[in-house]
Amino acid sequence: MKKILLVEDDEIMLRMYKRLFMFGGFEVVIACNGMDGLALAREIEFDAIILDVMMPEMNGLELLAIAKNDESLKHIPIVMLSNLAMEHEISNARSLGAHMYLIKNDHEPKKVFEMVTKHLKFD
Amino acid sequence: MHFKQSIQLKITVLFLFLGSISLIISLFSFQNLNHFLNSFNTLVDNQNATDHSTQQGLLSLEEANSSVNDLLAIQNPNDIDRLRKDESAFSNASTRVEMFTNVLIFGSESQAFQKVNGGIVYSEWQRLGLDKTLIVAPLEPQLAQTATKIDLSFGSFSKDSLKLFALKRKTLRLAQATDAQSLAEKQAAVTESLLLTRRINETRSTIVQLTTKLIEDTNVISRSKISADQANAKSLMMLTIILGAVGFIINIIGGIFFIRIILVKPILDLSKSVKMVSDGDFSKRITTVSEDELGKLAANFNVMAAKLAEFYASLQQKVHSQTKVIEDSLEEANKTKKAMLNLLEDAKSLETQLKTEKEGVEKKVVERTKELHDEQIKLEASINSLSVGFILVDKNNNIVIINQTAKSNFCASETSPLATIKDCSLLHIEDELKGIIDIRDYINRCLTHKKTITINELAFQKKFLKIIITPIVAIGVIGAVILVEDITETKIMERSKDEFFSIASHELRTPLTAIRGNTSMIQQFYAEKIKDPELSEMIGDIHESSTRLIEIVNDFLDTSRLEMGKMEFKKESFDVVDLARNTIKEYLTTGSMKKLYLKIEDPTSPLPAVLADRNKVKQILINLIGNAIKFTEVGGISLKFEKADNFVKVFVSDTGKGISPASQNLLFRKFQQAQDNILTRDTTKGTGLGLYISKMIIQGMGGEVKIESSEIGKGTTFSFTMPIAPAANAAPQPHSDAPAPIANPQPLNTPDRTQIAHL
Repeated sequence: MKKILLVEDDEIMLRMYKRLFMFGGFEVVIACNGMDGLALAREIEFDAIILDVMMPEMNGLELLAIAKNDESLKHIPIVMLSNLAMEHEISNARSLGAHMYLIKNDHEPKKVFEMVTKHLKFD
Repeated sequence: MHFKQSIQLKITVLFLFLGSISLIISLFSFQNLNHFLNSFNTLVDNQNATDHSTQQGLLSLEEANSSVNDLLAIQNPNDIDRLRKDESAFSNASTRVEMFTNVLIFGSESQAFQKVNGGIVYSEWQRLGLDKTLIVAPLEPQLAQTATKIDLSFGSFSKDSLKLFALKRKTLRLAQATDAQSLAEKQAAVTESLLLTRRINETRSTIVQLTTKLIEDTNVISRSKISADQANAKSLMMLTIILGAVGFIINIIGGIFFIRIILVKPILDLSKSVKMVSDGDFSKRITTVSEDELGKLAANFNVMAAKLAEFYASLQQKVHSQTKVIEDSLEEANKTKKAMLNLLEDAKSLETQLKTEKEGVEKKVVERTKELHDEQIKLEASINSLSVGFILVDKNNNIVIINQTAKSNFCASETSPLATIKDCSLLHIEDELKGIIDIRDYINRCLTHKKTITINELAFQKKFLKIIITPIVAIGVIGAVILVEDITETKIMERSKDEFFSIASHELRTPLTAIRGNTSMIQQFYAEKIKDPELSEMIGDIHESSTRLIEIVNDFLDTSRLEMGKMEFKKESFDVVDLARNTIKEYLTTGSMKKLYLKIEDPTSPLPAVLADRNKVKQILINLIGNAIKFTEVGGISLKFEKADNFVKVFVSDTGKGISPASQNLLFRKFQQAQDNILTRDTTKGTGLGLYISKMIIQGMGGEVKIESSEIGKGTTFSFTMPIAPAANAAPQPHSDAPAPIANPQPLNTPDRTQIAHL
C-alpha cells in the first residue's frame, strides 16, 4: 500500500483529502502545518507528499525548499495542492522542485485523485 | 485672290502654260506613232490573208484534179451512187450555209456563185470535190483583172466537169448495150469525155498559172506599200523630234523670263532699298508697281522706314532732355552733400544725450538683478519645501541645487534621524546607492541621449523610491534635474490590495472547495446510501450551487486582477489545435445530453505554434464553447483555425439563437448578457463577466476577440487571435493535460514579496 503525507492547515480540507486518498486505497498520514509535516517526513518513508501552500508555522513553499535540499527527502515527489493561483507562486513552487501544482477549486476531488495517481504513476 | 496680288497665282499660271505646251507636243507625237503602228499592222494582216487564200486555192485545184481523174475511172455504176450520197448531204440549207463559210474566204456568197454559175449548182460542184475551192477576190484593185480571169477559168472548169460527169453516166448506162446505135453513142461519149478531160486539165493549169501570178503580184504591191509606209514613219519621227526640241526651248526661255519678271527683279529692288535703310538713310522708299506679296512687303517696308525715321527723331529729342535731367540731378546732389555736413554736427550733440540714457539703463539693470535675486530665493524656498526630492546637476555632475527632501532621502545624518549631513554631494549619493543602482551612469546616459530616464520602484533602505532624471536642454544639454519621489506609501497600499485579493481568494475558495468536494465525494462514494431521490437531488443541488459559486468567485477575482493589471501571462509556445481538441473532450457529455455535435475542422495546412498562456487560452476556449452550448438547442458547435498574418485565428461557431446587432455592441462589456436587463437576468447563465474576462485576457496576450458574424435564429461565430511564436520557439513544447511538471522559473520583475513583509 502506497503511503502519502498530507500537510494541510484547514481541518475540513484535511479531512476531505484524507478521505479521498483513503477511499482511493492509500495509507494517509496527516499534518496540520509545515513544521509537523517536515518532522513526519523525516520520521516515516513516504511515497509522496501533498502540500498546502498557505499554512502557519512553516508554509508549504518553505517545507518544499527544505525537503528538496535534504538528501534523505529530495527523492520524494511533492504535489502542491492550494487555492493560490497566482502565476508567480506556481512558477516559484516549480523552480523549488514541486512535481505538480494543483489548484483545489479548479478540480473536483475525483479529478485531483486521478491526476495525482496518474502523474506519480501509482495506478 | 486677285491675280495681280499673288505671286503664287502668277507662278501657277506660268507652269500651267508651259505644261500645256509640253502636253500638246506629247499628244501629237503619240498620235503619229499610233498612226504608223496601225498602217503597219494593216499591211501585215493583208499580206497574210492574201497569202493564205491563194495557197488554199492551189491546194483545192490539186484536189479537183484527183476528183476528175476518179470520175473518169469509175467502172461500176454503184460508185456513182456513192457520189450521190454526198449530193443528198448538201440538200439541207443550213449545211449549205456552213459549207459556204468554209468555202468562201473572200467576197460574198452571191458574188462568187453568180460569177461562176448563178449560185444554183453548188451541189454538183461539191460532188466534184470542189467544195474547198476558193473564189479569189483580191484586195488590190489593180489585180482585179487577174482575179476575174481566175473566176472565169473556174467557171469553165466547173461546167466541163459537170459535162464529163453526165457523159460518164451515159457511158456506164450503155455499157451492156449491143445495138449499133448504142455502140455509136457510147463511142461518141467516150471520145467527148477524153476531149473534156483534156480541156479540164488545160483549164486547171491555166488557173494554177493565174493564181501563181496573182500571189506574186500581190507580194510586189505589198512590198511597195510597206516601203511607202516606212518612209512616212521616218518623216513622222523627224517631226516629233523637232516639235519636242521646240517645246523644250519654249519652256526654258518662258520660265526664265517670267521668273525674272515676277520674282527676281522685285526682290533685288527690295534688298537694295533695305540695304540703304540699314545704312541709316531713313528717307529711302521703294517704288513698285506690283500689287502681289512682294508689293505688300515693299509697302510695309516703306511704312517701317517712315516709322523708323520718326522714332529716331524722337529718340534724339529724348536723349537731349535726359541729359538735361542728369545735369539737374548733379546739382541737387551737391546741395544734399552740404546738408549732410550740417547733420554730422548735430550728431555730436546726440551722443552726449545717449550717454545720459545709458546711465539710466545701468541703474535699472541693478534693480532688475536685485529682483531676480529675490525671485531666486523664493524659487529655492519653494524647491526646498517640495515633498518631492529635487536635485539639479550641471553637466560636470556637480550639484547646483538640492532640496531638503532630497537631502533627507540620501544624506540623513546617522546620529540624528531628522538632521542631514552638510556635505551632500553627488559622490555621497552615489555611495549611498551603491549596490542598488549606479546613479552617475544614469545621469550620464540621460545627458548623452537627451532623454528622460525613469527608475520605478527603487527599493532603497526601507523605502520605495521613484527617480526621474530629465535633461535640461538650452543650446545643448546644460545639466539634468533629478526628481526623487517616495512612493513607499503607494506601494504599501498596492501591495495590501494585492494581498487582499490573494487572501480573499483563498479564504473564499477554501470553504467552497470543501462544500463542492464533499458533496461530489458523497455522490461518488456513497451513491448507495443516497438512493432516495429527494436526498440525491438535494445533494446534487448543493454540488451544483457550490460549483457556480466557485465560478462566480473566480470570475470576480479574474476581473479585478485583470483590471489592476495583476494578471500574469506566461509566454508558452504550443499547438492551439491540440489544446482545442483536449478542451472539447470535456464538453462531450454535455454536448451529447443536448444532442449537439461538437467538431473540430482540422486546418488544411499545419498551423504554426502560438505564443500565449496555455491555461488562459484554454479558459477562453471553455468560455466560448460553454456559451455556444448554453445558447444552442439544435445543431452543434464547430471549431476552425486559420493563419492570419502573424496570428493564428480560432473560430468558434454555433447554430444557436444568434445575437442581435444592438446586443453585439454590448457583449464584451462588464456584466453583460445579451438582451438582458438587471431584473430579467438569467442568473443560471453566469455572472456576465465571461466575455469581458476573455476579451481582457486575449488583449493581455496581444490578440483580440470579436464576433465574426451572428444572425438571429441561425447562429453565431466568435473568433480570437493569438500571436505566432517566433521561429526559434516554433516547436510546441510537449505537454500533457496536467500542468507541465517543471517549467523554467519566471524572472520576477517586481521586488520580492519578502521585502514588503519586512516593513
